[in-house]
Amino acid sequence: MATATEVLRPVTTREDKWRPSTKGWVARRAVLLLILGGIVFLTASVEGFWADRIARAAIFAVIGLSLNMVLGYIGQVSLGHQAFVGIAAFIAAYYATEKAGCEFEGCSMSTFITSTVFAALSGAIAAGVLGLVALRIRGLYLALITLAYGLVSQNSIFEISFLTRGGAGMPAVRPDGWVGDHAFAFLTLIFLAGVIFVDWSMMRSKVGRAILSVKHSEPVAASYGINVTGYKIIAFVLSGLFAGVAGSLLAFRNQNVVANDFSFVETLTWVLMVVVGGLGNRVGVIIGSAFFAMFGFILEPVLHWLGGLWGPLHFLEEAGAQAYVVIIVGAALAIFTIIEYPGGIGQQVSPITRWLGGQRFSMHPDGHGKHQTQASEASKTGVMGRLGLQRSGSTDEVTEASDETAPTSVMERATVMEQATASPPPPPAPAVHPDDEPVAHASGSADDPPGKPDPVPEVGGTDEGPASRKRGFLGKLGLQKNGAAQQEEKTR
Amino acid sequence: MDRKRLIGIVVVGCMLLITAACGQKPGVIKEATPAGAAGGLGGGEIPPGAEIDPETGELLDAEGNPVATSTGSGTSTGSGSGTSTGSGTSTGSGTGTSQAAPGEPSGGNSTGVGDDVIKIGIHAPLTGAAPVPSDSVEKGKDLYFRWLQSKGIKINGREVKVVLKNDNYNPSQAVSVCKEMVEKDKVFLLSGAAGTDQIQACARYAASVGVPYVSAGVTERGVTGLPNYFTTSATYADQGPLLADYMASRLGAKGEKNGLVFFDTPNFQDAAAAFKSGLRKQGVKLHYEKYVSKAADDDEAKNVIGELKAKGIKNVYVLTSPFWFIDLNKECTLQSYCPQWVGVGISMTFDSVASASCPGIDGAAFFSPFPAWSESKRYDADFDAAVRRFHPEEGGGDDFMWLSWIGTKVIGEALKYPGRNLTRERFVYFLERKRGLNVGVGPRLSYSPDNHFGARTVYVNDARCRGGKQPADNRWHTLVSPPTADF
Amino acid sequence: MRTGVVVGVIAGIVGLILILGWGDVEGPNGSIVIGLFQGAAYGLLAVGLVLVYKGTRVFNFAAGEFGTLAAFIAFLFIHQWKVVPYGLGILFALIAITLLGLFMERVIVRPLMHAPRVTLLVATIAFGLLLVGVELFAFRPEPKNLHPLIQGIDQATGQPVGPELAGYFVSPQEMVIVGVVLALAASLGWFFSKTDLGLAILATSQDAFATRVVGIGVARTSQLIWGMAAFLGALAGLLYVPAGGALAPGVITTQTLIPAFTAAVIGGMTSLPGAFVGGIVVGLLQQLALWASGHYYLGDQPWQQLIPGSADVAVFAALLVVLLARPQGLLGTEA
Repeated sequence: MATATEVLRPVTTREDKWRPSTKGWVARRAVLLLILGGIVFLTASVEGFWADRIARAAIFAVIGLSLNMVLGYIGQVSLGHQAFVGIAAFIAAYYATEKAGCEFEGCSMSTFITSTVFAALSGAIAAGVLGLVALRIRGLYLALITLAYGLVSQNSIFEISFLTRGGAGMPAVRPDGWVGDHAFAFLTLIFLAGVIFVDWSMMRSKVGRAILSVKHSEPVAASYGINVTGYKIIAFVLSGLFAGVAGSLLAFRNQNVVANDFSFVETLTWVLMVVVGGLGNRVGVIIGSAFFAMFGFILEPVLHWLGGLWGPLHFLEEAGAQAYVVIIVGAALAIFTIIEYPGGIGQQVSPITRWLGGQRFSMHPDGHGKHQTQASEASKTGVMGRLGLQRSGSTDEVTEASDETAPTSVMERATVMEQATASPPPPPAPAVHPDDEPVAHASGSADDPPGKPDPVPEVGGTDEGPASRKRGFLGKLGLQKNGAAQQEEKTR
Repeated sequence: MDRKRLIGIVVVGCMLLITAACGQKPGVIKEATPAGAAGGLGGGEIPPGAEIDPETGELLDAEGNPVATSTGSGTSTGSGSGTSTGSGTSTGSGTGTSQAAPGEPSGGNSTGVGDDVIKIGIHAPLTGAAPVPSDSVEKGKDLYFRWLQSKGIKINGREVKVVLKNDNYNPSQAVSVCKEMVEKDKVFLLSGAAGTDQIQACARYAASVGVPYVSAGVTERGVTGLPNYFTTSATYADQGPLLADYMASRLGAKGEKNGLVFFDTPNFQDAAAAFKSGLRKQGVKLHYEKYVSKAADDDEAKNVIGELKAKGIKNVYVLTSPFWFIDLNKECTLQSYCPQWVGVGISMTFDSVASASCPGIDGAAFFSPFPAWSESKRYDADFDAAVRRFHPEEGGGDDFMWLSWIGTKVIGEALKYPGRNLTRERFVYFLERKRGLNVGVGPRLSYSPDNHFGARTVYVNDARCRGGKQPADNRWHTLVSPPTADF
Repeated sequence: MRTGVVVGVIAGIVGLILILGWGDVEGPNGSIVIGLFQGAAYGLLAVGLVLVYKGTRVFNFAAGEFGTLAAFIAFLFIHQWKVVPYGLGILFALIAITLLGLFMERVIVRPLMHAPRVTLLVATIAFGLLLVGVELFAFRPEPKNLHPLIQGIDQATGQPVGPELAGYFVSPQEMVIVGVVLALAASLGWFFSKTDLGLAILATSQDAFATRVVGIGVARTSQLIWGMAAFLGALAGLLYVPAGGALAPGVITTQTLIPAFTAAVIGGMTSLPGAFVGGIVVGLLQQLALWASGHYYLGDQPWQQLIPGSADVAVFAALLVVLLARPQGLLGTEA
């Protein structure tokens, strides 16, 4: 019997929606199980310090998902995530050590759970406050203020010695039964699975679709009756919740929380790992985060090998070299990703994730050969397109063309422009993705192929769509003031 | 388009390599010790452990008091600290040195000990807020053991291999690299080179897994009573009363205004308390007390110097990161108000700190477990020979290699005591019954089962900047070395 | 006009505090003088940030590392290799960093010219971090000391060269900074309002396409902006590091960048005199916060000891208040 929802559900315009056969499903489930089983087996079989590193990777993945919520889903840059993670870590350690007396007596599982709940709540509250601020301050300015907030946390809040015990750090004793590195690694993996589940189920629910629509265009979302403010706050709070869980896990993993753990470089590295992972792409972010967490350890033997090859490279064998090389390679990787592969790791592994999700195995985003050109175009355009912007239609094509041919005279330029305006500009979103659903129905977009340009430029608050460009065109040629627009941009 | 970008990337790669190569030779600025530097304090034959006052020519002990007899006069003035247990043990008692004591463990855990090799692990801050140069530490970490090897000397038939890891001046990372060295590299014992918080964190981890931990003395908080932890120099708390004494007797602190500037970490609280009680005993007043956060920067340095100047503080005990101490010195130089700095510790008395802090640091007197590198030839000629043999490109080496040399020398000595049957239990058992461990340089060490803080003596090093006292080479020099007797 | 009023009001407040507290060695006067000169240094870095924002509408988070790397290069030539005199070392550093700025423009900014500004911001962060890594790698993390342009101490007498204000010796380096930042603000202001090239840059920032149509090369203006930004960042680092603390990798980014951005925002993000005024405000706020938190007690502990980092808290509070209450800043103009 068809209910109302069932009538509304098939929003896809594709008639030939392909479904794998039973055999196909079995194969997919088997591979998925094999991957999960591989992780579990790996964690169980490695030495203790490697299990400890796996725990770190899992915690980084939680942090990555938390940042992805803000950065990838609602398209705002938070450079102060170390504050949320750090505050939560200190609160968890403070509760366990000062209130529950874990330092000398050992810790019960219930104490651990309580600490984690407190940590998650504190992270949610702190991020909720940031969300309120983010309603007024956006884009570049939000990035700036979050960075300042992170620095204040690091230099002020985390140094309040009666709360954090200063440079010596606050101990956080692992709960009984989970003291060993293997056991604790499994505990973090369980938490990671929980966070992934929450993230996944939220993003495929009404809330998730609403959040994505807010990212794409606030006015459009509002016109569909979506409570823009409310959903933005929800995304921030959820991000803080994840950060809080990560903070608590990090505290118990390190068994000692110090301000140094939440440094400036750390938080920037977190942002870069999400970018490299692929904004808005869950699988990519997890892989990217785990990669950044593990990278230094993997690099160590490589550097040793390199250092042994040739005399002048000998310094690579020094114990300190690893720290520098990690920063250099991480940052270079991020720049490379931003410029060349805006979809990040998520885009590279998308054939596999799509296959596992029940589609055909193919190397291009939506499983249909005819979109291949558009997909590659998308990857070129959507430099961090996941952040929410695409280049606006025709004008940019002109700019790109003139980059190559470089018309020399004003006349030539004018001709180019004329041609550009003469040819009808493709309608923004539908033209690029004819198959795409209307914005409000952007179901399951969290797992959408990355690199797809988002339909409406909004996020940075500074880019102007084609329309506004045209509007201000003549005025700006005369360098007329457009103060109102700028002011608006800052306050929005 | 793409090719251009490729060229660009290649260009940046080349730039990186070039810049990297530029920085690879920090040794370029190092100069050989001027000839005759050793004689700079007055020359002549100096009795071992004693020192001649450069101004008066008197023979001095560690507290700067004139030495009446040749040795043994400095008995137990350090008992005022009150924080350490069993202070004041004397060298005379020969108990516990007999080899067949009852209860001597016969077996135990011999991880890291092979038929002909012993593996030990050292963690040091190679990056972070108070970094030491990794190439020097890397070269210095096993210099002593390579020297032994070249002489054909073995420790009970074994050679020693050293693993070095970077703790990033971060306690969490210190624990994680210590764990790695224990589990992956399977080291026999651990040692910390510098950094109070890191040493404390790693020592506590080592205690939890039963691995011996040997380091220079720092805080006593949280490490007192750890069964496997041994210090090879006096702790900050033990040095507090000495420093108060030194200020009173040598710097004329009684008639002047005195202050202390500390980083606000609980691990320095015992040092502050011991110092303050020491000052009270000496009848010296403290006029300025400042605890700044570990995250302090040059704004705060300006603020602190302004306050010191406004209040007219003359002597200041500073216990912070070397990095911030450099900030203080830059600022005090500009303000023409550099107090007489005094202090304790290891990383403060690095030559890199002196050269970056001159001229503000001129005349600063710091207690150190070791004599200054610039005078290494006077204390241990082997070091210079070893450096010239194994690292001829380094000239006379540097202070980090010197520090590693002494540290590993003590460890090498301690590894001898259990004999061929080397286990962690036996190592601890024999070391904690050792009286008068002496490798010829650094403090003389005496442990007991109740007291693993084995040293009571210090060297006093002072910084000489260009334009100041001779030899003015922007380095540390040793002003006072300890007497042979403990006190 | 507004500039005059704002400067007058700030000068009035400062003057009032100075007069009220005259002769009180423990009062805030010393801190105020320190703050004024510290603030000028923030203003110097802020000028470069404002320039980039005016020209490209992006925040350049790599600016601090232009400065640190410049100081390292100067250190390398002057103190480590000892191959060139001071002035030449500074010149080499300025040239090298300007080239680096052009390189950054070509490799990072140009491909992202049409990307969202936030993307470019993340890219500048990544580039800044890359430079921190390069500094660590090439110069090692140990702190160094770059000497000032003019020695603050008379070698013969050991006395400070500069004048003493409220117990604080103003070093020649700090006076140089004030002079340079004022000259820069004035000359860049003239450049943007009176010269064709300056107008072209402003035009590019507002509408790249339209500017191109009227025959202004976007690529060239972009090169010009980033080259100048790198030059100004390097200049700020070379002047500020000797007057500030020790030289270490990433030192300007961690210690000075946020106050400088706050200065630029307070000034209005587009105003060059505003950057200077904002810098002074931030410097004063920081030092007054430090003074107050060390001067007032809760029980027997000064506030500083209970809640450290009062200077950072003051900067954050100022940034938040300005962005929420007056986003166009004190002297914000349109371009």
